[in-house]
Amino acid sequence: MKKARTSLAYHIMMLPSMILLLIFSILPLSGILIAFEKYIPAKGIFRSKWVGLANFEYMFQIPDSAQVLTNTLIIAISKIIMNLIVPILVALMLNEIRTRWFKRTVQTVVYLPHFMSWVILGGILSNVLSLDGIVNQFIQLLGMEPVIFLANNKTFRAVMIITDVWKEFGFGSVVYLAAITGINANLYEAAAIDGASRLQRVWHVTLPGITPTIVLMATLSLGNVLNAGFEQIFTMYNPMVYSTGDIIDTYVHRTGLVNAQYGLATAVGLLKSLVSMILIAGSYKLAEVTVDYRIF
Amino acid sequence: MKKVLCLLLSALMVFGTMSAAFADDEKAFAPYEETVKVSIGHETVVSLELPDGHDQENNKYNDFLEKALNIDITYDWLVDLGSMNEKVNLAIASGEIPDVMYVNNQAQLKQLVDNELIEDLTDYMEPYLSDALNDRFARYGAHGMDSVMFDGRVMALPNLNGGYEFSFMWVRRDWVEKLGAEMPTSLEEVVDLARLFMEKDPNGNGEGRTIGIAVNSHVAGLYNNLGNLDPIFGAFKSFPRQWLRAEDGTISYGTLAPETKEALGYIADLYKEGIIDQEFAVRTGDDFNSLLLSGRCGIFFGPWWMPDWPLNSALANNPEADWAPVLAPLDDEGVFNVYRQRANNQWIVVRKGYEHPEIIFKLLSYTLAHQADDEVANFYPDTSVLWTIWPVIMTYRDEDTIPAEYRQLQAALDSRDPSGLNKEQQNIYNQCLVWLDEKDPAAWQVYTCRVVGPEVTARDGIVAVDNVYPLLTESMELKWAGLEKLENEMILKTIMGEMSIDEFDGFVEKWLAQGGEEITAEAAAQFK
Repeated sequence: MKKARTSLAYHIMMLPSMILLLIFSILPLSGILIAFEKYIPAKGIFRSKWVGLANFEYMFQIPDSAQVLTNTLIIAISKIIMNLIVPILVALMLNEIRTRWFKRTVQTVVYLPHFMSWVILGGILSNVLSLDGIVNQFIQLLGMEPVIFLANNKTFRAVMIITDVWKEFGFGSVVYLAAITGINANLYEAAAIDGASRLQRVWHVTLPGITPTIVLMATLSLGNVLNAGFEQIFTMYNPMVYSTGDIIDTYVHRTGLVNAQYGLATAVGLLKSLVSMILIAGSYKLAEVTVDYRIF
Repeated sequence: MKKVLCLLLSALMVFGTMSAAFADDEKAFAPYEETVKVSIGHETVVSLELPDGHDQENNKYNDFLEKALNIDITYDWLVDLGSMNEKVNLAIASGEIPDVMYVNNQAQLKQLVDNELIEDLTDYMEPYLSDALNDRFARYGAHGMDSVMFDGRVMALPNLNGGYEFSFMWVRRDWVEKLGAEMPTSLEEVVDLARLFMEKDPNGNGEGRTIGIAVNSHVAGLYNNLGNLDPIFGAFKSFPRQWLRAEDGTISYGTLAPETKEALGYIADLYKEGIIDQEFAVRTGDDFNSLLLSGRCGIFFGPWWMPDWPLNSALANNPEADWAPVLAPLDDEGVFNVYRQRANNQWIVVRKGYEHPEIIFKLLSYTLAHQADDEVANFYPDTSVLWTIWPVIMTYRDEDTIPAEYRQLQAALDSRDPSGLNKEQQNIYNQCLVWLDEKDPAAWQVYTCRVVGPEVTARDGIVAVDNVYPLLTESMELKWAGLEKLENEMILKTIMGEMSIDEFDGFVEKWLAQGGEEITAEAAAQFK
């Protein structure tokens, strides 16, 4: 009885977010029906013509689907991996810096791009990466051929991944720095007394100390496995790089919003949700089995 | 005053001159007895330089219109040029459209009809269509209203595009003269000239900084637009993105033709050689214009109105920049090949259930009738604000307005006798004299745009292919977007060398297999 009363308070506190979840995530699920219809907005979800699996059939018939899925997976997974490794490295390096003002300055500066929107960065990067841009001028200084980065299928994905990491690694490293601060200083002293070198201290004390945080961040980021970054790619892509840069979200945007094929767009979106669900469930299970980390 | 005149004239060029015989159209011009409210959804063209306290909704032009017709105009939304499609899609999806809305896309017009969101205008046509507009539609012939007829009912008010707005070559004549070269006619000569510009660098851009031919990423097949390569395709008798009707009546898609393969192969070689702007795939409109205005490029293709935009500021940037039109490149037989315009590419619709559907006829007729008034031109002197604040305006041209008006104007200039011209043309005539007699740079734009550019369209030796514009077919609704993507990708990749020209046949097969065959059959059925 006592237990029920205390948990009641918690349940009431949870209520607002449950209501929000209901309104914004559960109720709109009925929109999935659009994927099986020749959807006409004026007729609504329940009166539009039912076409069964026609949208899905068309989706699998066009080669775009496979290409778009591959692009999404490659870009998203590379981003997840890089966004995990780079911030850890940066955090470890920052942690070794003794001069406080320098450490703080670097931390702030690398953190800055996180606050800029892709719309602005897209414009800046298009300029920086153009034929007359600073990057190509440098490449030419080294005596190499200039590259049109944003119109070249060999470079487009790399540019997307690198610029995304550049934008986000500052933010990520702050999280790891916080985790590092939480490590008991006695451990370092003990290691030093045992004669561990600086590198050994990082390897045997710091890294194990932040492993739970790394696993947490990795598991959470797996939810993004099919989110390759709509805003970023949308502001920088063009028909020339559709074959390597067109991701599920940009494809849905073009078919759904630009061409008003709501049925097809919803079908593609539904496929994305389905694959995401399987991957996320799998990754949570994996986290549980390998490092005994549970989210639920 | 001169500046105001220039701007006024450019408005006329956009919308076409209307004869002034409006006196009898009482119904189209009569004000309402009680104030009628109307909300509008429209696109806006430029950032406005209006004085404080004035904006798109509250300005002298709207006051003028509201007073004359006893109406109250508000905007539901105004979007930037280019965001129109998405905005209209959202409006359709939400089912909430403004009382009066612009539509720039035929597929959307069909959706608005399918969704029963717009009013049937059939019964308003006869009483409210002004005589002047009526004449325009009648002169245009059978196809002038095709796009708005749904089951025999008129569901929207369309514009009328003029013909003769195909692209031809524009070249820096001062560069040609400086290098002692000749104006080109054949394709080889055009390319040689581009090569010469790049080698000799007449503008002093520095080595490798001069671009041979400027292009935008659409490449071809967008009528009445600048920065395409239509004339080069034309020299191969290729018409990408056009539906072509052969002599036996069969319909085919121009991008698939063997001529297109040949042209694309040629253009890919030009790209490889560096003659075509290496960055064309990622250039925006502003980028493209700055190439021309900053002297980085001396050759591009565009229609007759280039002096109005973007070349209007060419002289201000550089007094020596002498852009001139050339009817080039010609094909082997000395013919300049073009394709024809679509009759309608913009529509005005009225929300279903709005009480005064006739308001669009009134707004449009009144605006067109007063577009050349001194009063209207002087609402915001010394700014470029003119028709960009007019709430309802569309283009109305005869098929041959451009060459016909040029011939009249040229005849008047030759005889120095403007008496046969209407009021709008007389204004143009006076400006042309200012240029001819005084070489006042401020009058360059008008003269080049009204005489030099249109003169090219009036020449012999221009042959239009028999191309047609099918209405939206059933398979197009689902499959056209995918085919367009395939096509865009093929064109860009082939030119940039990422796809070899040998893969063209594979593209044709794919295009046909992914719905192109069905769509071609459906389109052909419309022209039986």
